[in-house]
Amino acid sequence: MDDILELPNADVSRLQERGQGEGPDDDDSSADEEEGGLDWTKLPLGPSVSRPVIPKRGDKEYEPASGSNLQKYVLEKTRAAMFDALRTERTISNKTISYGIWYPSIARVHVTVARGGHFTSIGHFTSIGHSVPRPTPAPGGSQSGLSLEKVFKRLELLPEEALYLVERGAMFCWKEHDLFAENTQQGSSLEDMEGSPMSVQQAYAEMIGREDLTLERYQVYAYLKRLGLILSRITTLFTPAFNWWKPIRISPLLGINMNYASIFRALRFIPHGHGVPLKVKPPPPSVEESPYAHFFNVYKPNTPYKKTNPPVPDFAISVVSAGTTCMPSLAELTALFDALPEIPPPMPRVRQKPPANSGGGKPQGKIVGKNVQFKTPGAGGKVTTASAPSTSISWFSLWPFRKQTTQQPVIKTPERRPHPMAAIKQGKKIAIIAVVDAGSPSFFRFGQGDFSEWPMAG
Amino acid sequence: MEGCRRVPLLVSNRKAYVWNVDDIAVIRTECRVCGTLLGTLPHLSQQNAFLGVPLVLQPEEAVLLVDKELAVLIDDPAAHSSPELVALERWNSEWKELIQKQISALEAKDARDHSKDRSTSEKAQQKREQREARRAAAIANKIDTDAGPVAVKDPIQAPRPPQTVPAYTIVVPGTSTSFSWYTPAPHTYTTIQAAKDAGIWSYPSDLTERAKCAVFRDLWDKGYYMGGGLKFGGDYLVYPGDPLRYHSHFTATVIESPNKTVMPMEVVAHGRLGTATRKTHLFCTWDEKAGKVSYVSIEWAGFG
Repeated sequence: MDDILELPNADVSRLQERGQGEGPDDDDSSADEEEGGLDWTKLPLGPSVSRPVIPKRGDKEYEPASGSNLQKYVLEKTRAAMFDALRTERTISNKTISYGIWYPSIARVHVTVARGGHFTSIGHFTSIGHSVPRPTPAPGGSQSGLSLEKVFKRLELLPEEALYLVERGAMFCWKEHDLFAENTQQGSSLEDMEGSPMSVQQAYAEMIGREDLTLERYQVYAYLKRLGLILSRITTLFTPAFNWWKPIRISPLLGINMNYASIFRALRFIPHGHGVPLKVKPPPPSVEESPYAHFFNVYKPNTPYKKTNPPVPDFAISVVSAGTTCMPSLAELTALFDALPEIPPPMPRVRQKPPANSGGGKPQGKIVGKNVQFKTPGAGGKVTTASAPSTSISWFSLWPFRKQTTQQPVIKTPERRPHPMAAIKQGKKIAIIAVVDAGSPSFFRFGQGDFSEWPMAG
Repeated sequence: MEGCRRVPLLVSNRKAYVWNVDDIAVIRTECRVCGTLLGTLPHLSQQNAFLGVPLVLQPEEAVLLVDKELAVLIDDPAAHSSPELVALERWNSEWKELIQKQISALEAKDARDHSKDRSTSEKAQQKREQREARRAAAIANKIDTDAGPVAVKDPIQAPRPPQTVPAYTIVVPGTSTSFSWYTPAPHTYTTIQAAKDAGIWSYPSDLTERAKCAVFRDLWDKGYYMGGGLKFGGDYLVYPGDPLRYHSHFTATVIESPNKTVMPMEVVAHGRLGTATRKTHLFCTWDEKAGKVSYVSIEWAGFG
C-alpha cells in the first residue's frame, strides 16, 4: 500500500477513489457499490452462524503496484475467503427437506414431500395450473397405493421454482427414471429412492431452457425471490380495475360549469393521449414474440398472496439480455403499456403545513393533517366537520385568525389533488424491465405519462 | 500456465458454467478471468450481495479461455447419462451408509451425555421427543393449510412417522462429479469450432461478436481484468488488477469496424459519464482486415 504513495499521479486518484465510498454523496456511493467492492473476508462462514450479518463493503485500491507484498497478501486473503465461502455445502436436516421428481417430458417437478413456508407461494396443483397431459400411473416407487384422484391433483413446480429450491438447498430432486416408472418392487436396494439423484449442476443443465425459462429469467427470478418478493408467471394479465384518473378529470365539472379547464378541453381538437393509435406502424407481426413481453408477475412481500387465487400483481416485469436485445422500440413499449393497468397518481404528502401556519408550531400542523385525511374530493369541508367534530373544534380554537380560516377546509380541497409534475414524472403506467448484463441483473423503469391531462397554464 | 490441466467449462443452453470451486480459483488467479457468480449461497440465502456457485462466463471469456487452450467445453446435459441399476444401487447404499454413520455418531454422543448425567438427560430426551412431536404436527398442519390436502397424504411421508426417524443432515450435491454415471470425457470439445459443429455453442457468430471477442482478447493480452459494464454505460469495465481489490480505470465500448460512425452526442455522453463515474471512456475499434484493435480514450478536459 505504501508503494502506491510513491507514484506521483496515483496518490491523488487513490484518495479520490477512497473518498468515493465514504462520501455523503449518494451518487458516489452507489457508483462504488455497482462496481462490487465486496469484502469476502468479512463474510461469516459455515452453517453454525445463526444470524449472519452481511458485511459492509471493504476498501479497494487504485491499482496493483509492482512488488507490493502487502497488496499481494491482502489479495490472497480476500480470494481465499471468497473461495472458502463458495465451498459451503448445501446441508439441510432430514426433517425440513422437501423432495420432488423432475419429469423432463413435461418440464415439471412433482413435489412428493412439501415442507417449509416456500410452498405458500411456490407451485401449483395440476388441476388448476397448466393442462399438460400427465403420465397416468404416477411413479410411486415402492409405494403403489395411489388413488387416481391424487395422481391428477398433485403439487407441481415450474422449472424456475424447482431450481430455486434445489439451489438454496431446500429440496432434493430426483430425476424420472425407467427403473422407477415400472411401478414394481425393485427390492430393498433402491429403497427410499424415487428416481436417479440430481445435483444442482444437473438441475441447471436440464431445467433451464424448458418452458421458456432462460438463464436471464431465472436469475431475475432468484434475485427477486432472495429479496423476499413473490413471483409468478404471467398467465392472465391485469383486469382493468377502477380508473383512478377519471374522477380527477371530472371533478371540476361537478362544481362549476364554466372554468378554464372545460373551456380548454372544448378548444382542443388535435387528437392526443395514448388512446390514439401510433402513427409508426409496428413491423409486420414477426414469428417470435417480442423479448419485451411481460414474463413475471411480482408481488411485494407484504401483499397477501394466495396461490389458488392470486391478487392483482404489484408489478409486471419483463426480462431481456443486454447482450442480444436492442432498446425497446416505440411499438414494443406501447404494447407493454397497453397490457398494464393505470396506477393512481401520487398524492402530495398529507402533512403539509399551509404557509400562513408558519408561526403556529407542530401541533397545528398535525391536526390540519388529520382533517385533510377525512376529506374526499368533491365533498368539501362538510365531511370533515361531520365525521370529526372534536378535532375540528380544537383546530379552530388553535388557529390564530379564526375568521379567515373558517373557509380553510373548503379552500384546501384542491390541495389534495396530485401535483402535475409528480404525476407526469411517475406516469400513469409503469413497466419494469430487468436487463441482465454479463450475469448481473439491473432493473429499469419506464413510465407512460400524459401531458395533455394536466393544465399547464392558468 | 500452458502445462496445466485445461479447465472444463460446462455448457448448457449456450452458456458456459463452472461448478468446481477449484476450477473457479484457477480461472481467476491463473487465467485472470472473473466470470459472474450467480447462485444462492446456501448459508446466506436471502441476500444478493454475495452469491455463490455456479460461475457463469461471458461468451467472450469462454471463447478466450478455449482459444488460449486454457479450457475445454463440455456438453453438460449429454454428460449426464442415465444411470444403470447397479450405479443407482451403489449410490443408494453409500447414501444410506452416510446417514447411518451420522445417526450412530449422534447416538454415541447421546450415550456419552447419558452416562454423564442420567436424570437430566432423560428429562431432556423426553422434552426433545415432545418438542419434535409438536413440530411434526405443526408442519403437518401447515402443509395441510398451505399446500392443500394432497401433499401431506402423499405416500412418501405417510409411512414414516417423524418421531421415529432420528435427525440427520442431508447434503444436496452441488456438482455431478460424485455421480459415477457422470461422464464428461466423451462430450468434451477442445476448440470453439468443434463445439459449434456439435451445435452446443454459437459465439461469435457475427461481426459485432467477433469484434467483442477481439477487443476482450486484446485487453486481456495487455494484462487487464474485464467485467460487465452495462451499469457504467459501456461493454466492459477494465480493471488493472483483480476486481476484488482494485477499482476499474476504464469503461470500454466496442466499435465493430473503423468505418462505423460515432455520433458527437455519444462522445459527449461518454465523456460526461466517465467524469461522473471517475473513469476514462475507451472507444475500442476492431479492424477485422488488419486484425488489430485501436483505442481512443475520451476524457472531459475541464477548461474554463
